[in-house]
Amino acid sequence: MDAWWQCEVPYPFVPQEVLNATDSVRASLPNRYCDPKVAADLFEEVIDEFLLCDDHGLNVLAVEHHAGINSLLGANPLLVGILARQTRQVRILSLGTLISLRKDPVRVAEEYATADVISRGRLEIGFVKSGGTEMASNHANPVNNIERYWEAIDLIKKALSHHDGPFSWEGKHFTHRHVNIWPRPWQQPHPRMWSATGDPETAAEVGRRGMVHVLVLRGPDGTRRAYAAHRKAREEAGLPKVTTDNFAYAAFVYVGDTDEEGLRVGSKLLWFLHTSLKSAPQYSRFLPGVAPPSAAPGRQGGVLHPAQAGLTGPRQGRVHRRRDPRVRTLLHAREHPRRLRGLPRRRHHRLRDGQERLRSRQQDHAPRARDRRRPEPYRQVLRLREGLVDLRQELEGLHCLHEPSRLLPILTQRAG
Amino acid sequence: MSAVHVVGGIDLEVVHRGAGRPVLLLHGAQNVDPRAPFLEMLGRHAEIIAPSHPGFGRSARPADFETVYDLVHFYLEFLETLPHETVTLIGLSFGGWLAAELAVKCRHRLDGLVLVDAFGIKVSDRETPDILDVFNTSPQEVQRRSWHDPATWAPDLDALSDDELVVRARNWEALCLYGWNPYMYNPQLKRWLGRITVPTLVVWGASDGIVKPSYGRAYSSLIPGSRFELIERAGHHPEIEQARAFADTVVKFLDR
Repeated sequence: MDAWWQCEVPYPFVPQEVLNATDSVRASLPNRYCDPKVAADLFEEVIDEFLLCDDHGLNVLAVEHHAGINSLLGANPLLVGILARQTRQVRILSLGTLISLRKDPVRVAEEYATADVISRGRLEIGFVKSGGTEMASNHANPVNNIERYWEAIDLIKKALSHHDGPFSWEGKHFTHRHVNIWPRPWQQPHPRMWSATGDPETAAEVGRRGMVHVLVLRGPDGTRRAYAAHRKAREEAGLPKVTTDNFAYAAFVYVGDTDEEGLRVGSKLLWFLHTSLKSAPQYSRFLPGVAPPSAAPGRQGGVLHPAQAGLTGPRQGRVHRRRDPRVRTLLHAREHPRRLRGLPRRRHHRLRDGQERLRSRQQDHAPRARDRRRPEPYRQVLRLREGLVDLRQELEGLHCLHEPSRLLPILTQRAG
Repeated sequence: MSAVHVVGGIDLEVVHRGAGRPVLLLHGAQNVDPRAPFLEMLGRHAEIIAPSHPGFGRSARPADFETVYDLVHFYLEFLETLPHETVTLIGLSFGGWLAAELAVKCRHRLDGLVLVDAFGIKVSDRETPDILDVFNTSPQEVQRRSWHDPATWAPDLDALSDDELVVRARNWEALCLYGWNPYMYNPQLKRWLGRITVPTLVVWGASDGIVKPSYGRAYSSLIPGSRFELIERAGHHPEIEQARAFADTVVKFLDR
């Protein structure tokens, strides 16, 4: 199993009364609540943590979200560029530039190729479909989002792998008559590509394309369905079977010395679900394109829809409410707290031993300034690195997660 | 109540009502409800032909069909299939945008134009949106700004069948697809409105908070000889909130 450290750089410093009063903490919360000095400190701390990962051989992952307290990483390519230069050994996964929001995939290909060259071939390229609030904050039509997603990937892939002078692209959503990027990527024909998706239809396409398939915070049933769709699509297309190296899973992880610590500190991560993703219905389930119209009767209970303005609409209150997948994840976490947030006692000792060894090694050389900044994330880097084998066993205990060989822990230590 | 016709290879749902002079009615964000009282009122004076745009209602939408350009050219073809030499064109809201585009392109097939709380042009400065962004605004606010009297006129969605809910979701998706960017207008249309030579009536709900009456007045002023009329105690849907006043206004125009 390999693991990739990520921190979404959430911003948990907006007064709670402001968060309570607003209908959405993403897309529409005024940025006057974001203090640039605080943001600068956050970026400095998080980038230092990424560099600490590099010191200890833990791969890093740069994510992207827009216009919300859940993440300040609206400009993922900037972070990827910094990591490409400042890290020296680990692999860097961009997961990723939200390509269906970007007007020019060729420019995205240039950014990726440049980062791959600067890092001397340590870049991995991940694609994410984007969320509802990001359609608003990036002026992106949600209805044909998936079409743009695949076409952008096709164009980026060709731009990275074509080396014979300019080529022309006149697609449905993107046109670029003279594509010829410099530099070309370090890795040939292009860096490995990942895609984060959970719905079976997109999962099948990920399978046909042979990309690394990432599930983010999906419950057992959804995860099983997505991986099965991936495999089935490959089989139907006559493609070779994939190994578990093609499957990755992103989950909240906190490794404690004890179960009590794991639960106590790890529970802070739930702030990310409880608070930082609060999203108004017009950005989520009432957003066109989020689900097919045939699903409308099951999606619309309980919340007023614009239809009530005479423009479109669902009914109130009488149909079954679709269960929010985030709630399922949260319930699952509560039902299996030891599995995800603590480690069984016998492993604590191993972890502690490992930390002692690490501490001894650190004493052999002068620690860098970044090692002293915030002790908790640093402890996590060390514990996670040492505890990977244990984590894998923990994940294997969850029937839904026996397949992925790649773990993407989401760490939001500032939460709460 | 409605029938399906094949036009330009597309299965098109069409509501027919009444007899007399032909009126082509282009709907707004929702396809026309065959039970709407204003249809009956207009049908006493004219033959109303009210198709659901491709992608709306129960009309099919080809996969490569997703711009207002497609809709306008589809309706140019639709006009050619009608047995009438000329028709009066009425456009509601989003359908008003289509009607204005058609009137610019196809003067010879029209004998009159009625725009009702119509979208389609840019009037204000670049930092002042003319048309409420219904996709990025809270449902409650959209409701408040759509009706003069929301408590009376906002649809009772609990009374809808699942099929009707699916149709409304199709309408919502199609509206987003066609109108997302630029949001509900064609930057070039204003330049060409002067080409409209048929008699034109611009009708607006006095309480419309989706697109205000001042926008309607500006729209009207750009069409040579156009007349502007407000309908009191009506929001974005005067044909529903004030069906009688709306029908009287339109019939008076038809009888001019």
